[in-house]
Amino acid sequence: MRKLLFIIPLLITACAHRTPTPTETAQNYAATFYAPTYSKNFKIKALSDTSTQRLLEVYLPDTLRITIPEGGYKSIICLSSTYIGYLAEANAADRISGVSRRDLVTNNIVKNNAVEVGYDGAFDYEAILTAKPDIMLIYGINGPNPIVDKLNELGLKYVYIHDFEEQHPLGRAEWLVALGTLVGKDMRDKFAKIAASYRPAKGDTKVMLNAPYSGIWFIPGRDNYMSRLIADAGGRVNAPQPVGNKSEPLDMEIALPSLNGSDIWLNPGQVNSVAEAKRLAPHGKFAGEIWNQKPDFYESGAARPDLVLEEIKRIFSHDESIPFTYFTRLE
Amino acid sequence: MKRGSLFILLTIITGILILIDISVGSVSIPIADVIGALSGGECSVHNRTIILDLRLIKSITALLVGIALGISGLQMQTLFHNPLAGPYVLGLSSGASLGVALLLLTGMAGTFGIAGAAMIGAAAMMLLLLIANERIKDVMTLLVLGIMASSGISAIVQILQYLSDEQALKAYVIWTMGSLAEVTRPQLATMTIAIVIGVIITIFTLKSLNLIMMGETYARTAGLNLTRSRFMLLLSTTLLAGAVTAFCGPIGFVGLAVPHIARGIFRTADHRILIPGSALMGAIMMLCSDIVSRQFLVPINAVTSLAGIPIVIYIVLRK
Amino acid sequence: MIQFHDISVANNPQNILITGLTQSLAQGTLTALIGRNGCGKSTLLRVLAGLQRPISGKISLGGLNPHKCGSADLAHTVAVVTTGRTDVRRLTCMEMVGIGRSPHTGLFGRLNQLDHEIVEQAIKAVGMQDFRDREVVTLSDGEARRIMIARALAQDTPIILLDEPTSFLDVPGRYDICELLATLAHERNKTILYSTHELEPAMQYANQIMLISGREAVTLPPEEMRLTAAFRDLTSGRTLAL
Repeated sequence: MRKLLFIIPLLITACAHRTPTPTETAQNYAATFYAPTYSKNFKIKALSDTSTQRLLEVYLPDTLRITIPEGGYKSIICLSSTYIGYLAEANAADRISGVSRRDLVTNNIVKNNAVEVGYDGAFDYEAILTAKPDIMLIYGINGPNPIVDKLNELGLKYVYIHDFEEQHPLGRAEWLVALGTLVGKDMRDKFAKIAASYRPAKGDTKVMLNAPYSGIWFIPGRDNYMSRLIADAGGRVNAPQPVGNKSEPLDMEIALPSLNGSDIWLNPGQVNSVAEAKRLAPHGKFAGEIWNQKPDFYESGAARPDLVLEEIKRIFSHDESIPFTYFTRLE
Repeated sequence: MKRGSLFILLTIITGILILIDISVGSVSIPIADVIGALSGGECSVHNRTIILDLRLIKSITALLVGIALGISGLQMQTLFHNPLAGPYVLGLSSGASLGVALLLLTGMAGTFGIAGAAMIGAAAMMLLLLIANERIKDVMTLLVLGIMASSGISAIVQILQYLSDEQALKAYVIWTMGSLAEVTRPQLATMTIAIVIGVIITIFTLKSLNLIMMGETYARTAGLNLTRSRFMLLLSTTLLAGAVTAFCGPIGFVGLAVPHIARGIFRTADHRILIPGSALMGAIMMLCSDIVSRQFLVPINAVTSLAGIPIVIYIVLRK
Repeated sequence: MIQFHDISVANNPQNILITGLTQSLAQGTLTALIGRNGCGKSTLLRVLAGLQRPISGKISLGGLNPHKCGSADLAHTVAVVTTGRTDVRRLTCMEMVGIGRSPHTGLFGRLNQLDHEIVEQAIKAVGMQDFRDREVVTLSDGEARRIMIARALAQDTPIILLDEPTSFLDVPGRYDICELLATLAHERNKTILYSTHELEPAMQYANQIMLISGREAVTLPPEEMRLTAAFRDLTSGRTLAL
């Protein structure tokens, strides 16, 4: 009777079966076409120094290599807003055939042309198939994305674009070159220009970030993307920050005085007015300006940290002479 | 209505629901193409892929999930003399969720994938319970131990959730919502084997379920080896509900509601009728839920809960 | 037949209920087990049925030791009727009695022609043939009790143990059951032991009375039992000291 138990380990092994990812051969691609300056998580290789045949190599979550067809990929599904931003910056917005949610898209070309494919937990594989993508840009959490088994079974090509793991704004924007390569475009010069116009400033503006949720205030680490932007714009996060880039909860007894002593309150979350924001921290006595990021921050803002930085600088200097693309001041 | 005819009717309904389920989706496909794809006849390539690679797999999955959860729910209700028990009452889904939580929230056990991690968690839980089963005479003690262990594990999972970052947390929460769509052919094959074995074991427990119903004293004096019967029921439930949870996430409410529906329809206490009855009703409920879930793009768990509650209330009030 | 060799039973080690019981109950006899509440009647029956271990001693049920044999063998030897009712929703009387055939049926518990006949006889023997298709939850306590006896009958065992089968019955009912048990013992050659608080029907129908008093058991035919001091103690009405 007990012997029946051996079924279980067999079952576990069977459950662990993953549909294998087709891998592309990389040994022929000996030459390095582009080794990023700010990012460590991708590389672009070429068949030889003179060849135009490229290979994109990404290292997160695992090493994956993708060859680039003639003229680049023509039908792309983007599961994250930043991918749309990079492709739009490379003038390839018309190649985007599918997005997770259409109502969250800012770019008009994409909004009108792309099919909605859903997101984690509610993927619409039928829509994906209908969009006839030749590649999907996806991301994984702590490991591969669970949908890849199904994608492999359906014969759909995909590549992980883990730009969000970069914490330096230029490291993130550098993925513009990677995605440019995917559509057959050379974005090295464009990126160099962006990097050059990313001009950090000095200053001492005190900024409070985020808002409490269920009585817990999460503060990002010092190396976090947003923290860096603030620091490069001449400000500093006015609360004790953990090391690294992970967010950690901050005790309300420390968070509230931090809020009260700040000049600017940035990104309080899903609120539309000063009153709503203040309701999130009812015991706070903040008297300064409250600014919230707009959806485009995650879309075109990902590829243009230089523009984002300029806007943050203007927030700090209270210069509202030009309209803002990435932020909006709450009334 | 005679029981035999009832079974035939329900089987026909199940068949119809499978056809409807295959015909429904976000892309409209004419019936002619559906039939063509299924029978190997005329159908556009694009539609054929959708029907055979996506919808057919999903429908078979829904069918198996319904059968598995219906049977294991009834087994747990009878074993513990508790009409509120379900396949997860002993913590199978808690164990599975711990496995998945460790994988998604901390990155441990990366090579196993979600299904493997879930199955390890569920199997570990079952192993603990089987060991306990050997030592414990009273089935109620087993129930309480299972519930306590289940709660304890849920607490650990909560702590893991609290400590993890947004993305990982979201991935985990999405797993708990359940999904039939991500199952691939090899996974479906594994799930089928597990469920078939579970059903075979169940067949050997049909008689003992009827005896267990009579209470411990009568079950024992009628010649039932209680420890062995419990072992088989626990093993069977682990295979049935564990396989479902491993590949589709925890699908709630079906195991709890379906036995009551079966009792209401078949009007008997005999498990030789109720077990197949629950299997059929489970299949019907899952297929209906899948159809609704597809139409409105709502997670499957939400549909099964919303569907199950009024059904059970209706059945219970009708008495 | 039932044989006790130096049996001691207890529910917990500190409180031994019966010690050193050595007795034989012949086949084809009806024995009534009497004694105060808490003296160990139910415990003794449970030990006999193999549901609880004795503190010491050996039991032989027609040659079988209930604590050393398999549950299947035991089920062919001993059938039990407990106190209280067993309410299973939607179970009919016929099905309930049919469950008594479990030790004799195969994997799925299907009843064959012979099984059906035995079930039919059992239901008739307790006078419940008109209740065949009624659900057991709709029966009165007395009717439910009869059905459980029928179930034990259908199990077709040489030994039947009953724990207070006559409680909840009206006076005629009590006599009916005792007469039924006596008939079963004598005509079908079964060894039947039942515990009871109703002395008069026992005196009338039982072959012998087993009285548990102090920690000892005394087994005598009814007329002799009536003369013992222990018995008179039981019925004196003078046990509460004022």
